[in-house]
Amino acid sequence: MKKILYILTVLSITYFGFGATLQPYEHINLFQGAFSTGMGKATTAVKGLGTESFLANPANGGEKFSFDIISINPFQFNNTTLQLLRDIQEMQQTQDFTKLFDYIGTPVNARLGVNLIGFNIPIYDFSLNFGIFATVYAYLEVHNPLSTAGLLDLLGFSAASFFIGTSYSFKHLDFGNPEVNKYLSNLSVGLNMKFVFTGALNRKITLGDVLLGSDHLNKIISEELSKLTAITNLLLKPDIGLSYELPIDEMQKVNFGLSILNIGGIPIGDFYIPTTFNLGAAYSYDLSTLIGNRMLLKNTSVSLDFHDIFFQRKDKDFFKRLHIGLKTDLANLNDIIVVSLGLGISQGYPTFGVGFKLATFKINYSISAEELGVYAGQDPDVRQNISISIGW
Amino acid sequence: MRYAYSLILLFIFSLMLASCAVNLFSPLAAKDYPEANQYQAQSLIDQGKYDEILKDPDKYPAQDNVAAALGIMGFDLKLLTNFLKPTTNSSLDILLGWTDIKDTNYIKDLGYALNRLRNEYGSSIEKSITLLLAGSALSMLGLLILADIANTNAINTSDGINENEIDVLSYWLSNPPDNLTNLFRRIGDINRDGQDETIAGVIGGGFVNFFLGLQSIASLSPELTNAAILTNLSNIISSLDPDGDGIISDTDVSNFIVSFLSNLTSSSN
Repeated sequence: MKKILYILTVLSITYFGFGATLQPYEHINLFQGAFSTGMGKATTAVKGLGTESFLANPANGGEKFSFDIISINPFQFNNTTLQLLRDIQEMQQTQDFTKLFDYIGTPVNARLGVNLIGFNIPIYDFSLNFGIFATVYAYLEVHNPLSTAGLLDLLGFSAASFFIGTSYSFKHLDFGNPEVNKYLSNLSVGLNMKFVFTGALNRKITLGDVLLGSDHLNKIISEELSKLTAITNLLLKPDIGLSYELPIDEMQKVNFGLSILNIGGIPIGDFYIPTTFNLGAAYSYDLSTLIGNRMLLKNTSVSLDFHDIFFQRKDKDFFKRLHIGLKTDLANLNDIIVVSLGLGISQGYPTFGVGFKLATFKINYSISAEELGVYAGQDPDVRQNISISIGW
Repeated sequence: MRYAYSLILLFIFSLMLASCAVNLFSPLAAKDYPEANQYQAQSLIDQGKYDEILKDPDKYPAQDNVAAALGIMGFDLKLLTNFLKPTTNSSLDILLGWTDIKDTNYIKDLGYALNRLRNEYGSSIEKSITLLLAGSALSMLGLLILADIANTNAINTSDGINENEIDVLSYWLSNPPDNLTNLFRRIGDINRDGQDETIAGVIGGGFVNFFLGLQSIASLSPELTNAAILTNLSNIISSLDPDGDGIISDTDVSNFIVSFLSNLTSSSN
């Protein structure tokens, strides 16, 4: 019995760095930008975040030219990940692996997203958007084996996607009726086609598996890891979006957004990212004009999103779908030097984000919590997100 | 001054991290429905908060109810950590040294939970994999502790368990001595159904799932039947339920315990 437990422990350590996990109740997305996470993920009606805006709502693509080359967005990890890395080193030195059991019930996860390239090119009333992004998301959790959760959750996915899309603004389109023109000129529509390759693993390892021996365990883990690295599932999944901008006066406007993402759903192993209908509204106020300094508090907006309005995700909790955000440029020197602030409430948890831009170099950092449980407030997982990019 | 700034920044950062885990919508969210309760049960068991489950057992899945009843008696993963530490003690000694069952009300909780499990999965084995090895085997070993509590003098677990004591134990299962019987009579209505239960009846429900689960592993993965431990346990299954009707008698249980303990003690040597 001692031998079996020892083998389990060693195996757990060996695969901590590679085991990928996907929590069934977590609202997983293929792409999740670091800055938009800092503003509570309430970006369905928010323009001006480049690729992050376009992937949240294709109708938000065309505001200004931007491109990113080889950006890391996001590098995400929770606090346990760092602690565990430190403890593993210590355990290897002391050969006392019992400390691993301190991690029972504590998820360990990391996510790495890479945008190899992302372009957002306005062309008259159109925009052309294209790019490539890749994501590897890994999640592992050791449970008390007495529970129905099993002993070890090994879950995760990897995805690579090429996307190309466009948005179109109706502002110069003549319908032959001034009244119709007046209302429809505020409308934008967008379409994004994603070619997605995915790989996934999902396995609960039980004490029964452990007692069947190390060969059996080795076989299970090898099989699951091969599923993660064998990205063979090619899918073509469109996103569509609508955006309606309602000017109030010269300083204020309200933007409404509707996006339908991953139409047809994306199966990832045993999991499934469903088609989601997201609704959002954003109120923008030109605070820089109000305070009389064009360098301060530009691009300020507050936003409210309701994601998955038809409750296609596994859980049915209303508040897990609610997102509130605020963003502003604390300082903006002709878009060359920019310091941005993002604040929000995502699924009930406060979020904080900050961004720095110096000419073509951009870095964003945010802290957020993801709800892993069934309802808002049941099981938060606090994560840190970083993105680094070169672009404009 | 620089040091003070660093401290202030560190404080703000810590505050932000801590505040991220505070949910502002939580008071408004609905919390009491099956999916949420199952997730909650897993979290509580992971955190070792077994008493929270036992306060309101029907709210949670039967397996988690059993797990909580076992866990509160000391049969949880922390027990297993002791197996990993270098020691000259036998596995059984470690087990017996760790568990500390002073409150016999926990046995009532276990009986109730196992009865739920038996009713729920009597004809279905698919979801009992987690329980089958952890729960049932350990609950059986809990019997040893009970024998100690009963203070029969015939069994003394503090110095390990020998073959004679195992024989005594198995005999008691079908012919319980008065003081052991009295212990369970004091516990009273184990299944909360108005009937007194014998210890074999209480743990029998767990055993049924244990055996059937093993059989399912064997049938689903024939290549694994070569594993030594499974072969040994398969033999026990055959001897326990020879007619294959899933009904385990007291005698069957006592025979099983002798076989299982023999396996356990030999594998730890």
